[in-house]
Amino acid sequence: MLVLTSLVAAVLVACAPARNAGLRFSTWGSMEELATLRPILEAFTRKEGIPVELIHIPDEYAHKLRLMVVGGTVPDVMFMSNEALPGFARKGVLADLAPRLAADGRLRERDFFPQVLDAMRWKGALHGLPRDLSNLVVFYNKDLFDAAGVPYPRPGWTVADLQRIAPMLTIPGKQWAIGFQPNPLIWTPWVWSHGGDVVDASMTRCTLGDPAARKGLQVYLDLRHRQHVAPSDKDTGNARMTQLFATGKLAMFVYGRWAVPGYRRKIKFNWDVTTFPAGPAGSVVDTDASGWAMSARTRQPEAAWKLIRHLASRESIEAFTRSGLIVPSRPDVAYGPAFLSGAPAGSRVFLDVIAKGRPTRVPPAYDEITWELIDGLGPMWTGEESLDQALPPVIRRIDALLAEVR
Amino acid sequence: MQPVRHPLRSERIWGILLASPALLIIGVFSLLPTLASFLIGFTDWDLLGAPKWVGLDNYTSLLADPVFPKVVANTLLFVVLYLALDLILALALALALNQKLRGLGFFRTAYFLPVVTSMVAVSIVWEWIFDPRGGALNEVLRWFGGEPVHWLSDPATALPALVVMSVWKSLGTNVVLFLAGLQALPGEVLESAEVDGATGWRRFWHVTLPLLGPTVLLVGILAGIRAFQTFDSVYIMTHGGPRRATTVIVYWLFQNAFTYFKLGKASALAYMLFAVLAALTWIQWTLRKRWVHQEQDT
Amino acid sequence: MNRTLGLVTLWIGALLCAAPFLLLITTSLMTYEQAMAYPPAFWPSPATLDNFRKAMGEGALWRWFGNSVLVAVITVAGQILTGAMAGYAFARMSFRGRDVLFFIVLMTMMVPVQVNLVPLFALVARLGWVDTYQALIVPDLAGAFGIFLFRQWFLGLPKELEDAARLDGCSPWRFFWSVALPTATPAVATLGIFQFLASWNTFMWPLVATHADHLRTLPVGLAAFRASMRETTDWPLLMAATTVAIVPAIIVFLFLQKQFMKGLMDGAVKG
Repeated sequence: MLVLTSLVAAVLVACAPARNAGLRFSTWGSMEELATLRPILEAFTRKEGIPVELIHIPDEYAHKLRLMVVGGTVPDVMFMSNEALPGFARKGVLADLAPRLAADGRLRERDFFPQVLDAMRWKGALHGLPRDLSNLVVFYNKDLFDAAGVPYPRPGWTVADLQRIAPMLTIPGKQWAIGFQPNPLIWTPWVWSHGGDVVDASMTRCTLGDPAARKGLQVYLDLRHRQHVAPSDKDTGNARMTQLFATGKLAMFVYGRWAVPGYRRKIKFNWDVTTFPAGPAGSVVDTDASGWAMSARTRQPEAAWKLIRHLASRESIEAFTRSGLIVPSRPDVAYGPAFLSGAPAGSRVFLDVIAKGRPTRVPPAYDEITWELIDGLGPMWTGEESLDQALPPVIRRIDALLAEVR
Repeated sequence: MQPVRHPLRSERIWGILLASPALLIIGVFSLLPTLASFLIGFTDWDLLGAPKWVGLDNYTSLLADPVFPKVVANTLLFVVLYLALDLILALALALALNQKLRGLGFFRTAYFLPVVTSMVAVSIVWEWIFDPRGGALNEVLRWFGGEPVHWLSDPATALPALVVMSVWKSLGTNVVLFLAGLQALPGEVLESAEVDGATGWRRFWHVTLPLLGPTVLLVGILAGIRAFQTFDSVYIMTHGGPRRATTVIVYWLFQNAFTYFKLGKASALAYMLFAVLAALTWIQWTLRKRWVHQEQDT
Repeated sequence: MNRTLGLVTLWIGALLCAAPFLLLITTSLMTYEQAMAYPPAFWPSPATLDNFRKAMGEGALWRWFGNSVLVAVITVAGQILTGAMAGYAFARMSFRGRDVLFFIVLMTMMVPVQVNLVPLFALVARLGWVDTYQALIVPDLAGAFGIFLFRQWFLGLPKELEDAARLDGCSPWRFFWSVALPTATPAVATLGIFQFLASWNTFMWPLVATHADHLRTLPVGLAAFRASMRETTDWPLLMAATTVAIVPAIIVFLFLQKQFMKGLMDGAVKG
C-alpha cells in the first residue's frame, strides 16, 4: 500500500500544473482563430522571454471563467466580451487598465475607437483593451437586385424603403427579400431603430411593452407574417438562415462581420454590405466589443500588461483582421488594407455605423433574461401567438428578474 | 450479521482503523456536501460573496417560477416515455433470449455495448444521426418518401428524440435484469400452465407476467431513477432548448448553479429531486426485502 | 414465444444496437466532402485514415486519454483498497457504532450526485484543488457500493478460518491482507470494472472541476472539441475522435463482462 500511495503521490506531483511558470491566458474561439493566435503568442514569448499557457475554453466561456475565479485559478490575462465584463468587474476580479494605458509610452487611448474602448469600461474603470467590435449590417445579393431591376440599398436607406422594395425581391416559395432570425441579437436593432429598448437605462424595468419597442417588433414580425417577404420556418426547411443567403435564396440578410471568411470562400454571386435600414429613431445597431482583461489578483501584473499590450498592438490586430473575421478595434488597422481590401467592397459601412452604435445593456441577470427572451417570444416569431399574447408574460418575468437583484 | 461474542480490544481498534479511510473520504466528500447542500438551499449565494440566510425563499420562489412547472412536466414526460419504451423493448428481448438459444452470449454482449459507452460519445454520434441534413434518420425517412424532420431543433420532437437515444443506451441493462428474473421463475408453475394448455401470448399474460411482476417493478424503479437524472445528453445535444422543451430538472439545476450562479435555488431544487428519488429508492428497498423474503419461503 | 419470432426479434435488436456504432466507424473513415455530399454516402469510398491521423495529431486528444487512464486507474485501486478494508471491518469486526456507520454509508448510496455537486465544488475550491488531478481523484477514492460489495463477500467467509488464524496469533491486519482479501477476487473484479467504467465515462463532475485543457478527461475534452466546431461540424473528424474515446471502455468490458453482469445483478436484485 505504501508503494501505491507514494506512486500516486509522485504522479500527482509530476502532473500538477506549474503555477508560476509564465502567464496563464484564457480565450474562446474556433480552431481557425487559434491558428491565428498561436503565432502571436509565440512571438511574444520570443520577444519578452515570458512563456504563455493558453487555456482554450470553447464553450460556456464566461461561466467556466467564473468557476476559475471561485477556485482561485483565474488566468492572468483573459479574453472577454463586453456582455460578460460587468459580471466580473462587479466582483472586483478585473484590474483597472486606465493608469497603465495612460503611463504607457507606445500605446495610447486614441489608438482605439472611443466607442469600442467605452464598451470595455465599467463604472469609470477601463477593464480591457479591445480586439474587435461587433455590429450588424445588411448583407445583400447584388445579382438578385439586378434580376429584379431594383437599385441596391444605399447607406441611409429606411425601413419604408425596405417595405417598398421587399415584395419585388420575393418569389413565393423560392426566394425571399430578407432573412429572419428569432434571435435577440438580430431583432433588437429593429426595436432600437424605432426608439425602444429591452430594458430602461437604469436597468430596473423591461420596456418591450412601450409603444416604440412594440412598433419595432411588429415591423419585424410583419415582414414574415403580413408581407411574407421573409421565410417561415417551413420555408427554411433544413438549412440555416446563413446558408440560405450563401446559396442565393435571400436578397438581404442582417448579420455580422464574423460571416465574412465563410462568405468569401463559399459565395459564387456578387454581394456587398450596407447599413441597417433607418427607422424613426435612425439606424441603430449594437457596438459590442471583446478584448483582453487582466486579473486584479495576478502576481505578475507587469508581464500581464506586456502581453495585453502585445496582443493589442497594430501588428497583432492586423493579423486577426486579415482572416476577415473581425472588425478591428484600431482605426489605423480598420482604415488600412488589412480590413478594407477583399470582399465585401463596402466594408467601410462597418466603420461608419460605429458613431451611432451602442453597447448592449447588460443587467445582472443577463443570461437568464436572454433565455426568457428566446423562450418566451419563440411562439410569437413562428406565428403561434400574437404580439399581445406573447409579450406580457415575458415582460412580467424579466421585471421579476430585474427586481430580484436589487 | 452475527456479532462476534468476545470482541478483543485490538479488534475494536482494528475495525475502526480499517474502516476509517473509506469513512473519511465518504464523510468529507459525500456526507458533508449532502448536509451542506441542505443548508445552502436556505441561502442566497452566488459562490463569490458570502451566503445570506433567506429561509424558505428559494423554495417559495421556485414554486412561483413559471419555468418550474415546465421543467417538472418535461422531466415527467421524459421519465414516462422512457419507461414505457424501455420496459416493453427490454422485456421482449429478454423473453426472446430466454429460449436457450445458441449465441445467447453474443446477443447479450451486443445489447451491452451502448451501456458501457460514455453518454458524451453516444450523444455526439446521435447528434449526427439526428442531423436534419444528411443524418441517418432523415435519410431512412427519405427512402420511405418522408419529409426531413428537425429532430433536435423542433420543440415537438426534441424530447422524444432524447428519449429514443436514452432507451438505446440503457436497454442492455434491463434486458439482463429481466433475463435473470425470467430464469429465476419456478419451472413447475410454467410447466403446469403448459399442461393446462396455456400457450403463447395467453401464457405470457396470465402466468409469466404476474410471476415476473416484482422484477418489472424493481427494474422500472431503477430505470426511473436513472431517467430522473438525465443530464449529459441535454448538455451536449440541445442545451435545454429549443424553447426549453428539453430542460429537465437536473439540467435546470445545473443552469441555476453554474450559469446563473443561484446556488441557493439550485440546492433547493436538488433537495426536491432528492425527495422524489429517496421515495422511489425506499419503495425499491421495501419491495426487494419482501420479494427476497417470499423467494426464501418458496 | 415462437422460436423464429424470437430469433428475428433478437437480430433486429442487435442490428439496432450496432447501427450507430457502424455509422460512427464508416463516417470516421470518410473525407469531409464525402460525408457532406447530399445525398450522403453511407459507405466510405475510398476509405481514409486521415481523420484518425488528424485527431490523434491533435496533442490534446492524447493528453485527455492519458488523464482518463490516470484517473480511472487510481480511483479503481483506491476504491478496491478502501472498500475491501471497510467491507471487512463491517463484516467481521465489532466496534462501537459499527451498525450506525454502515447504515449511514448505505444512505449515501441513495443521494443523487447532483445534490452534492454545488457544495463539493465549493469544498474543492476552498482546498485550492480546482484544475488539479486531486479534484478528479480524491472524492472518488471510496464509495458505498464498494463497501457494500465487499461486506457481502466477507460475510460469507467461514468463521472457522478466522478462529484458526486467531489461535495462530495472526494479527487482524495480516489475516485481512493475506487470507481474507485473496479470496475476494470476484468482488475485486466486479468493483474494478464498475469503477473503471464509471470513472471513464463520468462527465458532470470533471466538467465543473476542471477548465484548463490539459486537465480534461476524455468526455469533457470530447464535449469541448465538439463545441469548438459549433458553426460547421467536421463530422468525420469528430467521429474519429469519438471512436478513440470509446474503444478502451469496450475492450475492458469485453474482457470482464461476466463480472460486470454479476455486479449489475448484485446491485439491483440482492442486498
